[in-house]
Amino acid sequence: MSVQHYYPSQFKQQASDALANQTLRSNFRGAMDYLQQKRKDAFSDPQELAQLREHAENIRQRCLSKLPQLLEQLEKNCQANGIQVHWAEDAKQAQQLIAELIQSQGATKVVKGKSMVTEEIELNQHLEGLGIECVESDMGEYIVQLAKETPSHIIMPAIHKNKQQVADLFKQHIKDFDYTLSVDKLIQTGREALRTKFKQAEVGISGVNFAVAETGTLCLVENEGNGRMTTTVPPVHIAVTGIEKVVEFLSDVPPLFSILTRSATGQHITTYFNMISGPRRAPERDGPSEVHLVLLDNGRSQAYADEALRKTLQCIRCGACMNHCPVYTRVGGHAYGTTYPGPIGKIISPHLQGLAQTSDLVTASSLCGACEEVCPVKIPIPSLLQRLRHDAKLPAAEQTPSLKGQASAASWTEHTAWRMWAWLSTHPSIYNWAMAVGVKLAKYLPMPMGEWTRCRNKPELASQTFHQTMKRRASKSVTRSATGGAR
Amino acid sequence: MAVSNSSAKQNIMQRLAAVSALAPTNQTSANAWQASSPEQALARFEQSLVAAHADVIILENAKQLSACLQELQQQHQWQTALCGEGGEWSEVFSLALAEHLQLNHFLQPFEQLKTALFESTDVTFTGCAAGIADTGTLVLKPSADEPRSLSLIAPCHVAVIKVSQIVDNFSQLISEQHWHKGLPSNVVLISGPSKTADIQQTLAYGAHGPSQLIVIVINGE
Repeated sequence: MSVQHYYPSQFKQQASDALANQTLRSNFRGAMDYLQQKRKDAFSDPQELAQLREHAENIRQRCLSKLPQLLEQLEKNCQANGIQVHWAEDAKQAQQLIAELIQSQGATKVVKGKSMVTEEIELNQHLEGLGIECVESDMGEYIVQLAKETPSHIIMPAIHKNKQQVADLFKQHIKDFDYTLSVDKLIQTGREALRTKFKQAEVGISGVNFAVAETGTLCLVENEGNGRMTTTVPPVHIAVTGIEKVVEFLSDVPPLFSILTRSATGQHITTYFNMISGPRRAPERDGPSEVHLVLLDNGRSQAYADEALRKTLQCIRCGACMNHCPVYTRVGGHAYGTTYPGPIGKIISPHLQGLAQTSDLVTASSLCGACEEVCPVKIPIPSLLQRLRHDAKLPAAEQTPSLKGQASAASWTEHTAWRMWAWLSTHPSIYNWAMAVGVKLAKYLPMPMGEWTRCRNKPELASQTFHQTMKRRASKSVTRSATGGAR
Repeated sequence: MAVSNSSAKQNIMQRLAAVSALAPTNQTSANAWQASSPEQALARFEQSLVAAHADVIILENAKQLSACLQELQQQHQWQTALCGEGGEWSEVFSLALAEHLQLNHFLQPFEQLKTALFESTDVTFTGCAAGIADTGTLVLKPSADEPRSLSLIAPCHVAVIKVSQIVDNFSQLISEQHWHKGLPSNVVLISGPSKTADIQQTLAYGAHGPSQLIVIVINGE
């Protein structure tokens, strides 16, 4: 199975393709309007929302401030609970590690619950190359997998498809599918197909929403029950998570859980909240006999090293920023070409993939601020975008560690132009002369000015410089006040 | 374990430890919902569950449970059922239902019951460890008595809870029951039947877990 690939370096082309796709645009518009309204209804009291956001932000910042200690504590308590803990520095290590865990069981049939971190490491493709079948069990993820695509939203993976497109897909891939546009029947079809997979699976893979250091507990948030199936039915459970998902206390969980579900889908709570603190213990009769936890860095420690960029790691993956983003709403998730699309994707992907690949993403924003306004943990996304724009063009400031791909978008012409401008601006007489000549020559500028005039009119330049205008006005008013004084 | 990656841990920890991160000084708290009376708590518990598409039945006392279960069996025409061996209500389940349908008990390891659970069980019965009024949530602490899959695989799950088990909010439950001192291998919060809105934001029930959740609240002794 080769998955259709999009690349962050081709954002501009992918975005214009998406803009021209009317079905895609109407699917996203409908979905975003729905999610925005749901969130609005879930936070009817603005004071409560303000208080909860501040509290959630503080919890995440406190936990991040102690990240190394909390990771040690999490490992210790998980191990005490019988959970085996593994570490992976990057996607490749994580792929290999998980594949080895599966192969050591002699397993070839795997089911996976919805998890963005396993999308990030492209686990499915890697396992498939090794002859291991890894079936997505979340309905949206299942649809996306059948279509050989990647998720276009971190909460609702198949948001870019409407029911006709899903029905067509089922017709193509599911034997004896009785064509229908009834969503209930489509879901029942998916349920039946996936039940067979759950029964057969030898390993279940999931993500983690909160990993609690205090008790060595892995928390999973979901509505469908596929996450519970994945972590209950197969004999082995492998949980994969980024290192930033650790929280200090169990008491940190309820406020974060509440603001997560309300921000994501406007639900006061999800159907299931699954807290796993170990494998099946004697004399229990079900649950996996082995539980593994894979802790993945993959660029997170780069964001951690800088005080401002560290705020990126506060994210609890609710997706509210993309739901409210005027860019995401129009171009959809695939155009970004990254696992995490939308505003959060723009500030996290540079750490995962480097600025060389992602420098177009950080500029794909009008800095309108909607993302920061709805973020449940108050990540200052617009200012982080500005910071990353700077890092894409210029070397790191002194005492600041250099990012992967730092200054990779620097251009000699741009740099030279700015240096000349700086020199000119500090030499007034030459500046005045150059401007006077410049305005005279302006009318000879070509009509279409590249990118600038593709969707704008060429600006009409004044026939004289600002200094000339002001000088003339000053001499007029001097004359006027002189005559006025004589009256 | 074949997989050894202590150097990965060392490298990650080294990168993290090179940074001195300051904890924020302003510690805050968020007020979770609190009921002004037990009646209000029960009302919110019921309303939230009903809003999430669960059926809620409130009984005056435990003596009515038996008749209620029989009535449900009649109504839904359940043929096969599964319940735990040692749960709080398993005796009541047996006495009430054994004559009316094929009632199995979860005695064997899951592997031996798997096919029956997936293919030929109409309904499962459990008790609850607690309830949360704020969000209309059942708290289950699965054990050998009432295993995890009892609330997951069959198309219908019937859960019995006493009104005295219902607390106002999740935070209160964690602190009152000292959860930080250690948890069972699995704790699960259930707030309705399994659902999804993954196809065109249209809500559908019974995605992977039970499509029906029936909550019986015993509002008295």
